[in-house]
Amino acid sequence: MKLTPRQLVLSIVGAVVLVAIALWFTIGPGRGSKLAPERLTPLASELEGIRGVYLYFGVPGSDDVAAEYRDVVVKDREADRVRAIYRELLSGSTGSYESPFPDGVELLNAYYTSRGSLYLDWNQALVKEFQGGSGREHQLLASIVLTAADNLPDVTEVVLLVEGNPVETIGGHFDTMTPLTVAEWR
Amino acid sequence: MRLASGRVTRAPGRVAAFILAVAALATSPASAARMASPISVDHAEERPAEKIMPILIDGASYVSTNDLARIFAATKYWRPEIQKLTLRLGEHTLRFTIDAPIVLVDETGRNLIEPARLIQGVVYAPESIVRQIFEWGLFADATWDDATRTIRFRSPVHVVRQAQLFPRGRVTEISATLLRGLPPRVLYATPSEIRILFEGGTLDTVRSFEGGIVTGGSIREVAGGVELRLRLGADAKGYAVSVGSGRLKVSVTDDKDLVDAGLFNKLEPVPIGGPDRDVRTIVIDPGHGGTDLGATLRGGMSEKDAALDLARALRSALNQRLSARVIMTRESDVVVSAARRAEIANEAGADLFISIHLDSEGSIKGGGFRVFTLSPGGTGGEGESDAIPEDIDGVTLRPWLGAQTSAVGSSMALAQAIADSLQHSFPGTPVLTRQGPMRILEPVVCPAIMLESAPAARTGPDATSRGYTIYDYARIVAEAIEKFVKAARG
Repeated sequence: MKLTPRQLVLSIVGAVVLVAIALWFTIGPGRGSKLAPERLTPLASELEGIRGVYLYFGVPGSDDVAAEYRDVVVKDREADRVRAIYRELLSGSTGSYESPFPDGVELLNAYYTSRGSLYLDWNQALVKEFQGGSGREHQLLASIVLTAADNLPDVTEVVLLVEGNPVETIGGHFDTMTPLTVAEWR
Repeated sequence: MRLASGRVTRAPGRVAAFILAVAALATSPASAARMASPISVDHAEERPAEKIMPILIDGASYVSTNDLARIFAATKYWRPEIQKLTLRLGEHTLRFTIDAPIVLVDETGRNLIEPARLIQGVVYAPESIVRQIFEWGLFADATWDDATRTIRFRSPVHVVRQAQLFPRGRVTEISATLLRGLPPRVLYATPSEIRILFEGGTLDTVRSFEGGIVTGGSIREVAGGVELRLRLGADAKGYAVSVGSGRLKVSVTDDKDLVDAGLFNKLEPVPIGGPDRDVRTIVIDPGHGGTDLGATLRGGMSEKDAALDLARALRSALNQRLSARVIMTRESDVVVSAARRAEIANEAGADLFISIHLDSEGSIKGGGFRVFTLSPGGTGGEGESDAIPEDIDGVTLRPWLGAQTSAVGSSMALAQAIADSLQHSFPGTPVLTRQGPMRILEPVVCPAIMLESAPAARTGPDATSRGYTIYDYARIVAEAIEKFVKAARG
């Protein structure tokens, strides 16, 4: 088959274009170069994700608590996740519920044991700033325990600490020296 | 005509533009959000059923990964620079890449019918992923029903199921299916009420009972197990409990012969006050004190002051009705530790312990009462609920925080008697009986309750919005205690 000059030119141009495309995808900028750094996939623990959580707040005019669904930014590490959940709990209800926490309360640390105990270490404000009777104290403890129970399925009991030490009671009515079991507060 | 024909020529152009615009809109992501058939989610128990609404994109049904994360309690990790979304469902991960018809399931590639799509900042996955999550064994707590398009969460397997009441002549029976043996613990069985805790059990449904000798009652799950509570008619004489052969049976009878024949246990008042059932010492504990102010009540009064006032009124009312010695754990505004309060009661050999508290928030904001006891399931860390008291040189040693455990049934009976009396005297006022890890009650050996009321004035018809004074309240409580003590004496 004999090509006309026009066909010959088009064939050459087509071949050049194909070679150029092939080169672009093989040795183009950032591609295939041995020297170019590869994009590193972050370790799972460095990832930040969104987690839907149920947070418990006080129901006004009652001793009970109710759950509010919220999307929370969490790190993929257990302790970070716990901190993120409780930080969101401390930020208060976006609905009509009441936060049972006194002002100035912060969660300092959180850790699990393999036996399902969740240790939550709070600052002094949890006890010092608490004002209220048994109703408010009940809401506070129920909020802490049920938030753990709903979002951290392995947790069976919560141990409250204040700046690293066990605390007898928050408001004088309920015992917080012994772990608060999910079964008791459910 | 030219004008007219001009219009004619422009009109198809506008129509075409309109059609193109509609077509463009129809294929644009925003308008793609037309609803497909909903997917039902049956949460079994704790949450009400709900529906998630898939949308149609290019004719295919898609679900939002936000809905997937919420329903399956998954965490979403979105990496915009590579357009990938990871859903972590417990131990498993699903990695979607936008516009790729593939999903990485625990690092293994699986084909999707349609690619994942990103619409207005939300990642959508083909609806088939819902079914596939179950097919691939990624979620064990629920099942997928294709016929009804329902995600059905599994109900926990309950130990006590299908409780029913059967009136059978002079015997009324509560019967339930039992999955495994449960130790029954009779908290109290008085002629007016029976309360039994089946320790460690779970229950399918809360049920109420009325019929035969039972005038009211219920079975429900409480901390520590399943609690059966039956209010009995005036003629009730005996009760029997049997647990075995896959059935739980509690029977009550008004036939004295069945009791005399030993087939039923006799219903008796709660035994309090030692072997001779004589209540000699009652300890009243005004809550808080000193630097421990307690709650700030309506009007600005501290709980510690109101509790002392009320405790004095109760002491006076009890002294008028009973010959028992009445001791206060504090007579003035001083700090007394919780441990010391219990020590005072235990050292005095108290027969009853009443802790007085007040609150003006929550369920009793507008007036009312809460009557607390320790949970029958037991809490005390060092005191297991079934801990055996140790005997050294004739002295019985009990775990400090478990001291109340053996008396908790009597405490609950006393709490109920006082609650009934308050409810009868102040109809329409909230009267709540509660159990919990009350720190003041845990180390007390004798029957012990914590009474909490809304604040009341000393005098005047408008003492509270409910119209009672602290003296009315103290009198009603003292009368209830007197009745309870006298019933125990027989």
